[in-house]
Amino acid sequence: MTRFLLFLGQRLALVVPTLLILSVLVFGLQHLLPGDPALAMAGEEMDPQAVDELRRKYGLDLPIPLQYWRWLTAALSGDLGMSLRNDVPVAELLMGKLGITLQLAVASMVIAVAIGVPLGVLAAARRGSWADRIGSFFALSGISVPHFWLGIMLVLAFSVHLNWFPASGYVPFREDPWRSIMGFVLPSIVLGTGIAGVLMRHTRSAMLQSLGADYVRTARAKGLREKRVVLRHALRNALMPVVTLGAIEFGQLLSGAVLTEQIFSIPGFGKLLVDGVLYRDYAVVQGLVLVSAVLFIATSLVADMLYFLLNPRLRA
Amino acid sequence: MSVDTTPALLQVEGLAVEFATRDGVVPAISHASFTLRPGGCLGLVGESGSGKSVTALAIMGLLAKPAARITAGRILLDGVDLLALPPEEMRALRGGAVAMIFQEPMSSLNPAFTVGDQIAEAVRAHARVGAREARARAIELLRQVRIPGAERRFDEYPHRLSGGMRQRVMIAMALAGNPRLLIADEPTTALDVTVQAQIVELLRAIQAEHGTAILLISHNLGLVASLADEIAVMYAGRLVEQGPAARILGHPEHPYTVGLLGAVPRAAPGDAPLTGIEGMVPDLRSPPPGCVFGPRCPFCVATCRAAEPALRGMGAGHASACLRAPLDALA
Repeated sequence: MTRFLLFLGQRLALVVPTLLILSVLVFGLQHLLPGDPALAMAGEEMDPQAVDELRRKYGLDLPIPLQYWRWLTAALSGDLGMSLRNDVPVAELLMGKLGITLQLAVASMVIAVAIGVPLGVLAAARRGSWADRIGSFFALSGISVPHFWLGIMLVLAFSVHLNWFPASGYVPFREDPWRSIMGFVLPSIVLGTGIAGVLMRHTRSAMLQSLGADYVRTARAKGLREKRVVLRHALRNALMPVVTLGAIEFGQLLSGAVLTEQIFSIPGFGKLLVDGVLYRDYAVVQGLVLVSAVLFIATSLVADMLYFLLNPRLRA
Repeated sequence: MSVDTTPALLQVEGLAVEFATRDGVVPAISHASFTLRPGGCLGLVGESGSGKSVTALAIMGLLAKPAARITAGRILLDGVDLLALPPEEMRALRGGAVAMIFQEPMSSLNPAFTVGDQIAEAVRAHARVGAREARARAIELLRQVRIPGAERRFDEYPHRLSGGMRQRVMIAMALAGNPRLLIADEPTTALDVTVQAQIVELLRAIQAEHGTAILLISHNLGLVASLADEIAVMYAGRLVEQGPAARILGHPEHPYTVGLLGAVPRAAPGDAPLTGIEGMVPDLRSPPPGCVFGPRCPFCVATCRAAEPALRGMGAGHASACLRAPLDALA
């Protein structure tokens, strides 16, 4: 337990400088982008006085380091500024979308793990067999088929022709749980199959490695059934790299799936990001990137903890 | 081969194993035959690549399929041909009547589970016992292999143990199914010299206390000399000499065995200088004509290259596959 806390402490200590560097990048990138938000807000007429006023109002006339400092201190207290377009606090805007993105990410990950890991195990255990070949074909397809194409095909098949799932739109869970879940099925499949392919390939290669290990030979030598050899002795060790990879994929899902959300009209982080960029809504984009990055770091932290728990060699 | 008339525990008859490789089929073992009596210890000796470990894995039914294929022979355990057993019966035998320990105690234990867990798993693979009973039995096994603080060690992970301790754990695991035959493949090679002696002592005690027969596989003649009562020497997938240990060590009748003995370092000063064996192990895909050891043999003559010599009795249960034996006359 003390070792766990020590390990956790070490990781957390690394998080602080990472976040600081990140904040500089997030803030800095905005200023490298062409375009002037004040001009965008002022509209077609571009009255120079109005533009200046807007600049002053949002602190855009201050020196950049000072703007950064103001932004950082505010962000630390949970104030990510105001959305220039909607005139609502960015934090509030993000909180509203977080649940949607989280729901989509979790559903996609469930599909990815449920398909990718068993297929990878099967392919490795029956290396060279039909199961292996079909699994590898599926994995490659999952990775290489573009999301927009798969999304459109799924909509055509399951919404237009079969009418099993809604083609698009988001229904809040509280409003109608069943319709809410049904609405997430197709987009989760689109996102999940791609990740399933990645997970399958990594599970397969990690399994092949552990199936060739001496301890697997020992497990067989002591007369264990092949199922137990594969699912306990080999898989337990093969899971370690897969967990890390899964966490990275999950972290990426949390930053929003731009195309998929667009296709299925899901108002998550991806949609917010597109709108933010289109309308030069600095504060929204900054806040979004920052929150996504923090979520990503948090996911990695959880993955590290899982890795620690899976790997006794780190514990002692 | 033995003058002993008790029925053999293990009888390997004309075993031949091939490996399919990218460069074609390699015959790893060609018609090897030997026997091991109950409670005895047979040392299987030879250089790396001579087919010792392949023989062991063939007995265990653990040859890597589909690359390895047994093309001929029988492996009889108590008269039952293991090669003809259905997979499920063979599985029950593994870790049961026949157990095996390996060269690398470092990598042979699963790093993700405690040693006790792994021993208890072996117990439960061969006896219908509950978790608590399996734990008690595992602790008892840890005591049997003389691991101090067995109760405490049960919950230890392999990486916390030394090489010697891990090999003891491997032995405990092998004993879990009360084996009648223990195959020890280079059990001490990866260990420190002082630890080696302890493991040898442990194996000897197990043999004496449980009547477990040991098939000891090693390139180390010193180790084999200290445990085995019979020795079989393998070269290039063939048995070239076999017989009682004292005879083979004191009076080898195959030039390859003579060469092996000449390459054993001794601690005493003033001994004869170490001698190696000239040349290289032949390529098994295209073995030399006649005797496979011919190209490296100081006594090789034209007849040796004509046909592959078979094992020939030299008296007192001793057999050599050398046309020119007895060698005394040649030296």
